[in-house]
Amino acid sequence: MAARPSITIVVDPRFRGGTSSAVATEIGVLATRADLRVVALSSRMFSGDEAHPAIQSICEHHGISIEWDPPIISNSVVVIHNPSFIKFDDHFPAKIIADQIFVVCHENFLRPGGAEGFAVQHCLDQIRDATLCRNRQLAPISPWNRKTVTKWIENHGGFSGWTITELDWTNICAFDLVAPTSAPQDRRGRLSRPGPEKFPSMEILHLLYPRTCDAVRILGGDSLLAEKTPDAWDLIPFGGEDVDAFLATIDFFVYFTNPLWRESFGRVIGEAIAAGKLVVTDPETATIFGPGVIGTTPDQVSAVIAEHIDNPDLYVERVRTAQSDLARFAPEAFAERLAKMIGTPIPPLKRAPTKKEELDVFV
Amino acid sequence: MYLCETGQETDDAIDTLAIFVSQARALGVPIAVHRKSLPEKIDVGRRYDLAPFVTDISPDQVEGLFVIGEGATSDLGLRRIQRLTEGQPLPTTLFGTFENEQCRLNAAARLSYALGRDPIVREIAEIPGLKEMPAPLFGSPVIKQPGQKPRISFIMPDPKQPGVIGALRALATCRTLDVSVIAKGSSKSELIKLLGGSIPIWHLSELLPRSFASRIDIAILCDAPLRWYRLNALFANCVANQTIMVDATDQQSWSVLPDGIIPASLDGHSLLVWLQQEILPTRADIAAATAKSKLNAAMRPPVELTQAASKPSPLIGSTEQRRDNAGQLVFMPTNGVGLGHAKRCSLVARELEEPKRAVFAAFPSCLQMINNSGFDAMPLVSKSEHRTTHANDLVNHTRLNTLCDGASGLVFDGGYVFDSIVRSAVDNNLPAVWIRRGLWQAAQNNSVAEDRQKIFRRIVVPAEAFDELNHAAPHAENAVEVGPILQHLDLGPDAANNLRKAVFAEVGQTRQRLVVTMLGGGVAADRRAQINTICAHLGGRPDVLNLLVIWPTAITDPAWFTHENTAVVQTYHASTLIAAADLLVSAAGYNSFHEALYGAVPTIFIPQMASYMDDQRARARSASERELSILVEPWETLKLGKAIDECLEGRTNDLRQKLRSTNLPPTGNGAAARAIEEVCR
Repeated sequence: MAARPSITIVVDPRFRGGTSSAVATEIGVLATRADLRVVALSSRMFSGDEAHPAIQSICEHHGISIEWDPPIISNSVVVIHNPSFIKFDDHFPAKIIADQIFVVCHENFLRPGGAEGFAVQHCLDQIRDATLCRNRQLAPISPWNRKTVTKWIENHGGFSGWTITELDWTNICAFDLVAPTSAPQDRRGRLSRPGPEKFPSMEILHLLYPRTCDAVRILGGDSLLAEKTPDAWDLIPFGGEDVDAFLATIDFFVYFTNPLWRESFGRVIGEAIAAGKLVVTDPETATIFGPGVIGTTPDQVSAVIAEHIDNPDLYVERVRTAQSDLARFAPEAFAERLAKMIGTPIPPLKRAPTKKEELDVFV
Repeated sequence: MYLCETGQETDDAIDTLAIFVSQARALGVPIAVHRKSLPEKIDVGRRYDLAPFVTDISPDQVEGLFVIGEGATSDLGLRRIQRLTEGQPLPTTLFGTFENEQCRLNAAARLSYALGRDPIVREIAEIPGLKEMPAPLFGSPVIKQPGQKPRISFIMPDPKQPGVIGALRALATCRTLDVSVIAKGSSKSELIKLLGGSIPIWHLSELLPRSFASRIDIAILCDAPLRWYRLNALFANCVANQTIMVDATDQQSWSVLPDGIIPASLDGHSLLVWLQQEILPTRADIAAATAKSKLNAAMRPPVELTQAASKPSPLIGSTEQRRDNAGQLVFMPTNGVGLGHAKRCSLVARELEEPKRAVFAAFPSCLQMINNSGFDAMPLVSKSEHRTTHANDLVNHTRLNTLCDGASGLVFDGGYVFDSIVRSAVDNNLPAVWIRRGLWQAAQNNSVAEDRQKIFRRIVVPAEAFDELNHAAPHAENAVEVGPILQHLDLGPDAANNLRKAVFAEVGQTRQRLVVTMLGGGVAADRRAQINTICAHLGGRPDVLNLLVIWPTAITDPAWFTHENTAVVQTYHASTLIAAADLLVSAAGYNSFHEALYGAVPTIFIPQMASYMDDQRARARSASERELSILVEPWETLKLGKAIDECLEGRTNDLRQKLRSTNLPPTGNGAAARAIEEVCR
């Protein structure tokens, strides 16, 4: 029997968002197939001493004790999730000795327009200075994320001491699939955290959700509650409704972020696809999920939706295409890619995790 | 035009915004604050600071946006900016102090989400020794009117600190120095208690820093540097305008700044001697050295502002003083209970050597009267019960400020010195004169008046006709008393008779005698009962025409129009009618009282009293005790009828004769004009 890979996941688990959910899923997938350690580092970015409930719960489920702030981390493979968590620190909070170190780039290095997404050099320099290893790699999580990483390195005239993984370290999507409706209506919606980066301007929102819609529902629309918005817009505060229930009330997931910010992966889109919704978003984000997700500009959204309402078969076909493309992000696909990256086979799961075991982004 | 926005909503942030914009505007930057940038609740003082700079311009007319403030823009701030820009990606410069690169990136990113483009980020230059600033600190040019005496200002003295009160007293008693205090927090009221009215004491928030700086030749810094942009802007303005900066703090806290600050001790006697022997004789040399100091160099504006200053906007007037206002004397009477203040101002303005210098800013009820007197008047806005207390005065502040820009003086006549008066006079560095009639009631709260008299170069006090009424309150060293100011119309028997006939003809009634009833505007007290009594009583005298004179803003009673021999008139010519009256029934306001007295018009005075008014009862009593007129209290309606009968049955002749034989002081209209001209050249 081949040896199980020995992996340590390093994260500041106090982050209340999609990154923690993605890491929790990853822990769930690797827990039974690798000798897994989970190390929590307390950075200045967050306060408190409570891990994200999803990470806490999956670790408890698999009997993994989270090690908080060890001075030295040593393992053959160390995976540091989201290097930006140390962006406010002066020093990396631990020393790491490993054969291979993967730094999973959950945040884009550059924003659309070219501005830096976070203090990349500051973070990577801290990691480089704190690590002793044979191979130190940056692991982008999507094609768009990869573009920002390579462009950033290009802007800096190279970056010694680092390589970039050939494969993406994608989020794991193991959602139960819901069949799409065969009679789509113009019921549009979106969900996200309420931050300003997640929303385009009001002018664009009016293009995306015009008064002609049968229904508009925005979960996480906290910042819009203070604005003058059409009465037909149903604005729900973040966490104000169960995600499954929310997605069941719409047919089109119309998701555009602020033009000067972009999702590095877009886990929420994966959820909407799994729930049987046709996703309409910007072309770059759409690329991550394949041809089943429609990439377009805000002014074309209504035409796209009208086309699919007029042609329900096309709607169903698109959603099913998107759902089948989600397989690329399934646990087994992830394990295969990981095995290639670390050069060690990863044993298959005895069974796929059910939806109930999967941890929601919005826990 | 450029807009400025602070990414925050705190009082401090709004304070900084107001000061930054005022500083930049003084540099010549065509900068304003969009009304959408302002929260609904703003401290009253900040409203006055901001009023001249607020705009509701469309974003397509905006050249760029400056964002200031501490740290990253708040969520509310981002939404404001989104509303403000209406989707126009305005070129934006973010001024900030960032703890590290990540904070800088965060601030820029957050702002970009609202702007739709990435801002240029500028780190605020640190000035060693000063606290971190929420906006770039720079000195703005101010126009310093040369003072007759060196103007020394104690900045932020702590009344509890040993030696402070002694130093202030020592300098305040020196006749060769003009001493003032700029305080913070509750220190102002504590200092007023300790020092009385011997020194003008300001709170730093009362005026803009550039207005303060124009009034200081030597600044005595009494407290350590604070993280208060307003204070630091005052400091910067002083440095940039060659004010001599003296560090009198215990720890010499300001002396760690680059050269340009002179250390000293806050010991009263030695400070005075040191100033007189070491500093004052070399003022010009020290000022020249300050101009060349590293400190002054550190107070230069950021390049983005100097660039913006080179692009004037037609939407904002030039920062150079308005030439078309040159030499102009701005008269601003309040409307009070009647039209007395406006009337007095017009009488004084007529006596100016060049009456054309006079231009008025007046409330609507006074405009016609002022125009009839031959003067132009800019309308002010009256108080509205539908708006906050200060809303009208904010509008008046902007109007008056425009009228005062480049003028040679501001003359105010009224009881309550509005913020608009204080700011317009000081912001424009104008010599201000207060025509302040006396006879203030003993129980009256004069604290605001006492405090604000510090802005006036001179206080002209029109005397009362009788000596016992002439007790000027509150006391003021710069008060000048002049004779009663009034329109003196003594028509003589023939002219009066002709005028009476003309009045009878005008109202279409043939009568023999004219009674003029004029009981006030009805603002202080309801006089309908007394008027009805008079009308009814005179109804039994067919030989009498009762001419009921009402103010333009007075409340009228339909019953007044039912009496056959009563005619209700609304007129600006009350003085002429008084002169023609056989009997006057009047309130005892300053103007009507003196017009009746000097015109020898037999009068029954019914005083109108309110806590905020002058003491009409005392005035009426003085005349009745001399048997020059009759005093009837408002509640004495039976006595009123009896007094009217007595008068019409012969007593008017006695009163008129007595009035004519009484020596009254000469009128002071001309003297008041000369007193004003002396300080407003």
